[in-house]
Formats: sequence, structure tokens, C-alpha cells
Amino acid sequence: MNFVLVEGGGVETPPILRKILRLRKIALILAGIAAWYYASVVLNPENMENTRISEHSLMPGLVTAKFDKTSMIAQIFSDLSENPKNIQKTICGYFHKWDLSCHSQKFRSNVPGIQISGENVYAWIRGSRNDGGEAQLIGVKIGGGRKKSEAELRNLIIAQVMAFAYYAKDQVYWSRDILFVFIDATSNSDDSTNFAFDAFLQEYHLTHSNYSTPTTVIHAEQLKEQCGLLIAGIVYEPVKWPRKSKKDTRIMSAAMNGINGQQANLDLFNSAAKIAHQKLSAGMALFGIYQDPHSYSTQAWPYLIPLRAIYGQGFVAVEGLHSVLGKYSVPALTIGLDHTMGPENGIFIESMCRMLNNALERLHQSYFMYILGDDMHFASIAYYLPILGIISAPLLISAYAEWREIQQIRLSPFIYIAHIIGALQFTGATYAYANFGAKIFDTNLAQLFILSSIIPFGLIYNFVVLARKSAENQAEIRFTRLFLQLLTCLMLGCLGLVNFGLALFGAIFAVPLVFVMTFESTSRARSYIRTIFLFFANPIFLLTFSAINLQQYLEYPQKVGENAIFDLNLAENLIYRAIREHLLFGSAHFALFCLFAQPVWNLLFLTAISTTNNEIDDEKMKKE
Amino acid sequence: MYRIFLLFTLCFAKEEYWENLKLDRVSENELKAEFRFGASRENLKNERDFEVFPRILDELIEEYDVKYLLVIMGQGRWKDDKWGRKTQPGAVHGAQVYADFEANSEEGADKKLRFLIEALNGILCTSLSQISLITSPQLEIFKRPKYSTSQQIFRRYGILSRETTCTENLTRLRKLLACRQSGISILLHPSKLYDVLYHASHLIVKKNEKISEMEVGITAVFKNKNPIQGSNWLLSSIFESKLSSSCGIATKSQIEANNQIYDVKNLETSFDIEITSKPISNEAKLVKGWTSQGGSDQQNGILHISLQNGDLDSKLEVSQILPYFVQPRYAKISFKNCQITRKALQTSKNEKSSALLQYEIIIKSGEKCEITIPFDKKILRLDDYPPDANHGMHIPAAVIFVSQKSDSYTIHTNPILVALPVPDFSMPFNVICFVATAFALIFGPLQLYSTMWLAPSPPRSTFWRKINRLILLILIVLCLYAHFMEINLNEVRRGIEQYLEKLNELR
Repeated sequence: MNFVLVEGGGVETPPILRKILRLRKIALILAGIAAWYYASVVLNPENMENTRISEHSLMPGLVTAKFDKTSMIAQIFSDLSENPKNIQKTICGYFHKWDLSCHSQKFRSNVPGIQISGENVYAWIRGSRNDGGEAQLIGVKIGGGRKKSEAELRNLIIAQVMAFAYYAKDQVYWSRDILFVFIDATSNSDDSTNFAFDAFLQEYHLTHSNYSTPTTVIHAEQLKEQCGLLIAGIVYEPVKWPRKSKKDTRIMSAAMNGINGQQANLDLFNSAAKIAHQKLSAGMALFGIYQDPHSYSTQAWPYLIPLRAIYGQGFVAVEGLHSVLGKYSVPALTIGLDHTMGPENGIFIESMCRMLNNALERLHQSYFMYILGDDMHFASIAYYLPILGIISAPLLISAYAEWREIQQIRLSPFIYIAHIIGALQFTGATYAYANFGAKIFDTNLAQLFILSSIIPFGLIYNFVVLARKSAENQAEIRFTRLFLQLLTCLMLGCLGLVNFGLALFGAIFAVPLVFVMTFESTSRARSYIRTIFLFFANPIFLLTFSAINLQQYLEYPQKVGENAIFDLNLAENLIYRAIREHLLFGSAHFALFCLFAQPVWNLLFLTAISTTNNEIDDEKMKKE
Repeated sequence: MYRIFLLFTLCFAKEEYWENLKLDRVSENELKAEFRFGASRENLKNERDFEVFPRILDELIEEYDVKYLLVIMGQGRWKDDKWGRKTQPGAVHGAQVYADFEANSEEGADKKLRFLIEALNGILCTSLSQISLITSPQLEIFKRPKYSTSQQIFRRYGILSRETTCTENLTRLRKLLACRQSGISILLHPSKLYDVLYHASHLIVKKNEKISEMEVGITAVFKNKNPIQGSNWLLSSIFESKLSSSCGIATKSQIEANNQIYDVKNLETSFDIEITSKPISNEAKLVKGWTSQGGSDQQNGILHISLQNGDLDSKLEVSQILPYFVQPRYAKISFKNCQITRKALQTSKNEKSSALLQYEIIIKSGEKCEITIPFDKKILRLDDYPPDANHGMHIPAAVIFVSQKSDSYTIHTNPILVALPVPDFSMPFNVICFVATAFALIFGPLQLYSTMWLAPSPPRSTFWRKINRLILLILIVLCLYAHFMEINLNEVRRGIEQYLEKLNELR
């Protein structure tokens, strides 16, 4: 291509770019409509890919299962029901009787804010063809249950898993050890159960203070026996009967979301779904819903499962016990078994074990990024990631417009200050919670955090430092606009690759907010109005508002929060949960909130309240 | 005639051959079978005729100046608690090679060793080429002969955890035996010997000034598949063949079972026995060792060796090989309840050689010693990954030579599988690459046009541009047509080929 020197040494913008820049004011609306339309096509299960077992080595899951120890289920169930206070001993008693090793492990919390203790049980079937290098894990909850029927259901699942152990011990084809972990769930709280499982896993992976990272959260007994790398883990629990399902349909359930947007390997889920379909004629309920893939019209809204999948990935760090395994890079699923299918459940467990027994390689990175439409369909990252790109496009266009106009790069000191404030909030809150608990000098920690979060430091900085309308200050504000637009795009893009759900929901709020607050305003009144709006668009407020309303929109049965707009108790609970999940499982929600959302909110005050005389001139651009 | 025969035999080197089978019930439903076949030969100069000693092994000894060679292959897990002490020399999962041989220098020894390994691959049908042999382990690993100090002996030892043992290895081991179709070797039935809980085989070659010796050993632990029908074992049913002919040239041919020794050297009729003895009691507690792996990330990990002593005070010589793909943090190696009397650390010489950590530990009866070795995982070059890179790579088992008051033996821990950082060439990686490339292609010109002081000048002649656009448009339309009509590319290709063939015919 030929190039000529432009008259006067200026820049000649290509016509297409001039058109794009002229559309800047309505880009947000256009992008919103485009993203909505694109998402409605991509997230419709009818347009998604079919699930399949792509690895041939996993096919043994589909061979004829020979589980035949159904009579043992009743015997074990009866013993467990008779000794509800000695479940650990009863379980180990059986394993010892079968000449299999079984041990218990006591644990407790070291953190004042988390008062948990208990006792896990673990047992082994050593694969005779194994060299000790690999194992697969089967997890089950023991004890607890809020109602008697719930406790009985748990005992039934324990009995079914143990009956499988009784069957499996006599098989010679195991090339990986099978590790059974019975997780203490006596306290009936999900946090405690997750904590109990983590206590076992941290000792299994030797990640406690005696060996590597100094963690003080969990104190647990050392394991008496060990094995090698865990190839995968399956946690079994009674199925949570989904709504909107026919009574005559056999339904199991699967949960696959993990910490920080992790998902179970798609091969693992596909194989479980295929085994359920082919051997048990059962469907898989996902996120509390069962949707018959052959009749969407008669069933629920087809977008409900994909939307719940995105929501769950974004906000539910620990969806089930399997999520804890994600912390240790072990692909895992929680499978809900229908207690009425005794022998069939044994067949299902056997098939899953035989599948994992034969896997040639670790279930690796290929299929960790997907959105499920139902148990038979999924959308791959290549199809759904552009939604985020389309939503973020207005910010990129704005950033380009700013870049064209910018005269000098002048980094605002408040960029550093805002991030330092966020870092202090993060370290202060986590340190205080870990060392003193939820109360500090009779003051609620969450309330202190909320108070520190709603102070508009950006506004104060603006009035104190940027009050004078000098050219330097104008340059600082202009560059802050560009910085915020690019920072938001970059963060959303990076987050989208790891946790698409969080990035998408974040983008829905962040993109319009950043777009509007960084748009040049020539009117002082407009600037003041948007600043007031910004004050109320505090991340804590948005988070609480979303928690109350998103769940209703996604048809979750439980009601969240008392008030439809803001609930202080809910906000406090959300903050405590985020800190707890960070401390226990390394969830990044709290860090993202403090180190990204809060600084951006504070920085937006600088641009929202500012007015400018030289708005990017559309007429000038037209002439050009 | 007799004098001629005597004269003839005196000219040959003296050779001997013996065979032994030991059967022990190790639990109610499990039986251990231990085969040992041995041959020895007097070392006479210029004598190249062989009767029972395998000629190929003699050539190996001569060519590589071997003093002691041990190759062990194992598969399965040995249950110390139930089965007692492991059959010696102890086999680890995979293959082990230990060699003492003479050479002029270190370089000469390394060169000799490379050829020796390849020769072993040929003799035993193994694939040991990838084994990384450690130079001169300083502590004991196996019971081995003593040598006179005048000889310059080089020692090499290595483990290949991924090596699997199969019927091919058994066939080659049988070929080393003097009696292949008679005697106890008839019972070496591959389909039975590999359908077991545990299988190990070994080859030992020794040479001193007077005599060369060879031993082939095979150990298998069988499981009774029908325990309800009775737990007694018939020799013929275990191996699916009856012992019907004896090995005439063997000096000793014995079967040990039911606390008796049955001589099967001069068999006239088919021989069968029922193993009725009670399972051997393993009340005496042995030294046990196991390895566990710590860490869950892709940067580093922990190797944790636990050693539990039995009833007697013991001296343990622990040897742990660390392959090239892990880098131990020597300064952070820690010990718990271990009284260390001697250390010998050998770091890896180059990028592909392994490191060897050896510790001599005194441990009192009933005590437990723990060794923690933190390590960093290396990011390998692309060529260094095996085809199944995501399977992980093995750190070999630790070998523990146990010395007690009147006894010494070797045990092993288990190998561990390390998940190394693997480059991801899968779908998300491609998506990121393609998207990033697309963005670069879009924003590159965007950035260029908006910041350069030069602006593009469109060519004045538009005729060729129009032609180009037309061609592109036709191509796009064709592609879309092919896509929506679901036209298979192969069909198109076949169509073109047929068309070209017709054209050729026309000529």
C-alpha cells in the first residue's frame, strides 16, 4: 500500500473509524442489543453442541457393570441407622471386617471467626495393578441432616457407596487406588462440611504449615496412609429433587462449579451423564432444574439452565463438596443419587470408577470452559466469549476517542491512592477476621468494612486537589478516563477467560457505569447528577441489589433479603462469606472486590464530577 | 569308549544347572510362587563351548567386563502387612538395573554402560534405553559380592518406573534356561503368570576369577478366584499344566511346598501336589516404607518418605533418585525422628541426568522416621514431553537397604506420579491465540492509521481492484453454497479428479 505525507503533518482518520466514533453516543445501546441477540442465539440449547465422550479411554464406563451386592446395602443401612452417634466407628468396622484399611482423622479450626471441629473417616481399596502413583476419590457426607428423613437419606447413600466398596475389593482390574472419604457433616452447615473435606485434603496434599505454605486456618491430624496423585473425585449425595420434573422421570443431579470459576472437566460430566442415560435411563438435573432436551416447549424456559450456569460460576464459589477439590487442582463432580435406585446406584458408582480407572491421562485443560444448556448440550468458550467482547466494545470505542484527543499522559496520584485504600481494606478485613473474628472491640467487622467502602475518597480528592481548573488537572482527568476505560476492559477480558460468569455480570454493571461516568460532560448539572448516581452505585450496593433480585429472576425458590433494593444484613453476610471463602478456599471474590471494584468506583468520582469545554467534536469529525 | 567320553568331558569347562520352585500361601486366598533357575560355569581361558550356561550372557560378561549385573522388573503392589518380606532381590514397579563392571575411566564406563543397556534390551526384550543410571551410589542398595581392592570397579544404578513387564520378557528369560520344555520351566505359563496380583522377574549375572553364575527368578502372587469352592490349591490348576517330565541335566530340581521339599529331578509319571499348608504368619513386624506426594500447584511439590521400623533396631540406607524434571531444594530437606549417620548427595550432571540422595539412618524398633524433600517442577522443552504429557512423569521409588543384627534385605517405597506444567495446545489455547491474533490484526492497522504521520493513499486505478473484489466475492459465495448445501470436500475433490481423468482420456 502507498503512503503519502498528510498535509500539515496531521492524522487522517479512515472513514470507517470516523463512522464508529460518530456512533459513540449510542454504542452502549447498540452493544447491549447486539449482545442480547447474540447471547440468545448462542445460549439456546438447541444451537449448542451435543455432549459426548471424546476420550476413548473413558469408554469402560459404558461396559456392562456387574455390581451385585445389593443385599449389603440394607445391612449397612440398618447398622448406620441403629448407631447414629457412632457412624465413624460403624463405617470403619465394616472396612476392617472386609480386610481393608480404614482410619479416622480429627480436625478443628484455628481461626476465631470459624468455630468448626469434627472427625472424618477414610478408607482404601488398593488397586492390585497400581504402583501407588495414582488414585481416584469417592466422597460422601456422614452424620447430620436437619430432619430425620434427611439423615436417613444420607445413611442410604453411605450404605450404597460402602456396598460398592465391598464389591470392588474383590475385583482385580483396579489400576488406580480407590480412596473413600466420609466427610463429617454433623453440624449441618455447608461451610463446616467443606471445611471438614478441606481438612482431609490439606493433609493428603501436605499443604499445611509443617510442610509448605504456612496456613493457620485448619488444624488436622496427619493421615496414616497415603497414595499418589488424585486423578478425579466424585462426591455422592442424595439428589435434591428438582422442580418442574415429571414424577415418573428418573433423575439424578450434578454440580460442577468450583472456586474462582473452575468447572469440572467436561469429559467427566459427559461421561456421568451418558452413564446415567444409557444404564439407568435417568436424566441429570443441573443447578436444581431438570430440562428434558427433547421438549423445551413443555418444560421450563430453555435459557434458565445456561443463565444459572453463568450465575453459579460467577457467584457460587463453593457449590458442593467437589468445589473444595478444585483448590487442589483435582477435577471433581458432585452427583446426586436417587435413593430409590439401590442397585442402579451401585452400577452407576461402579461405571464411574471403571471409567476413571482406565483414563490414560489426567483430565486436562481441553474442556474446562463451557456453559451447559442441559445434560446433553454445551456451548464452548469460542461461542460464548464474544458476548463479553460485544458488551465491552463501547468502552473500547470511548478509549479510542479519548486516545485521539489526549494531549499528554499525566498519571493521577489518586490511581495509586485508590488501589492502596483497596489493598488496606482487603488485608485489614482478612487479618481482623482471621485473628479476632467478626467482632472487633464490640464492633461489627462487616459494618466497619461497609462504612470504609462507602466513603467517596475520589470525591474528596477531587475537591481538595483537583478543585482548580488548570490545564494539568484537565490532562490528569482526561488520562484517568482513558485509564479507567482500558482497565475495565482489560480486567473484564482477563476475568472472562477464567470466570466468565463473574466477568459477564460484572460487565453488565461496570461497562455502562464506566461509560457514562467517563463521558465528557460540558454541563455542570449533568456532572453533579451523575456523581450522585455514582455514589449510590457503590459496589456493595450493586452486589446486594443483584443478590436480592438476580435469584428471583433466575427462579431460585429461596427468598434473599428483606428489602427489594438494599438489605444491610444481607450485605454483611455477603462480606463475611467472601472473607470466609477467601480464607478457607482461596476464593478471589473478596480480593477482586477490594482491589478492582472499589478503586474503580473511587476513581470514577474524578471523571464523573469533572466538566470539560472541549468535548470531542462530532461536527469537526464529520468535516474531517 | 568310556575313556574317550571322560577325555571329552575334561576338555569342557565345568557347568551346573539347577531349578527350584517355592510355593507359600500368603493368605487364605492368595498363594506366592517363587521360581528360581540357576546356572554356573567354570571360567577357563579359550573355552567357548557351552552346555547349560547361556552363551549370550557369557559374551555379555566378557564384552563389558561385568562383575555383577542385576535386572529386575516388577508389576503390582507388594502387600507387606499380609505377604511378609518381599522376595529378594526386591522388585519395584517398573525396571531396575544395577551393574558393577570394570572400566579404564569414567568416560569409558559411561560408554560401556550405554552399550550394555542396549545389549540388555536385546537379550530381555525390554526398552530400558531411557533409564538414567546414577554414577556410583555410595551406600548399599542390594546385597552384592565383595571385590578385591585392586580392581577398578564402576557402579551404576537406575530405575525406570514406566517400564512394564510382559510376556515378551518372560519368553526371553525362558530362552536363557537350559531346560525350556521340561522340568519346572514347563510351569512358566504366561497367561497364568500375568493374571496375578503381583509379578516380578529378575536376572542376576555374577563373575569372579573362578566362576560365572546366572540366576533367573520369577515371583507371582496368585489369587483364588473362587474362594467359595475351597481354598486349597492344586499345582496343575495354578499353572494350567502338569509337571510330567524332568530336567535331565539339572543337578537339583526341587519344589518346596507344605513345609516339605519334593525332588522332581527323576520324574517318571506326572507330578501334582495340593498346597494345604496354612498361610504363613507374618507376626514379625518388618521395616515398611512409603512415599507420598505433597503440593497441588504446577510450580513445586513435596516428596515425603515415611519409614516405619519393625521389631528390631535397624540401619537403613535410603536411596532416592530424583529425575531431571524435578529440582530438589537441598537446603529445605527436613527430617523428623531420623538419626542420620551418613549422607551422600549427587546432583545431576546435566539437563537430562538424575540426582541421587542417599542417607544412612539408624532407627530404633517401632519408631517412625520421615524425610521431606521439597522440589521445583521444571518446565521442559517441547521435545522432552512424552506423547501422553498430561499423564505426568514418575519419580522412582526410594530403595531402602535394611541391615539388622543377622539379616539384611531391600525394600522399596512406591513411585509417585508428578503432574508437570504442560503447555496447553488444546481448544481454549487455540481460541485465545486466534482471538488475540484477530485483535492484533484489527487493532494493529487501527493504531497505525490513527497515530502515523503518513496516511494511506488509495491506488488510482480501480479496475484490478474491482476484478479482485469480484473473485473474492465469487469465492465467498461458493464457500457459503458449499456450507449450506453440506457439500463434502472429498466429494468435490473426487469430482475434480474425475474431471481431470476425463480430460486425460480425451487426449
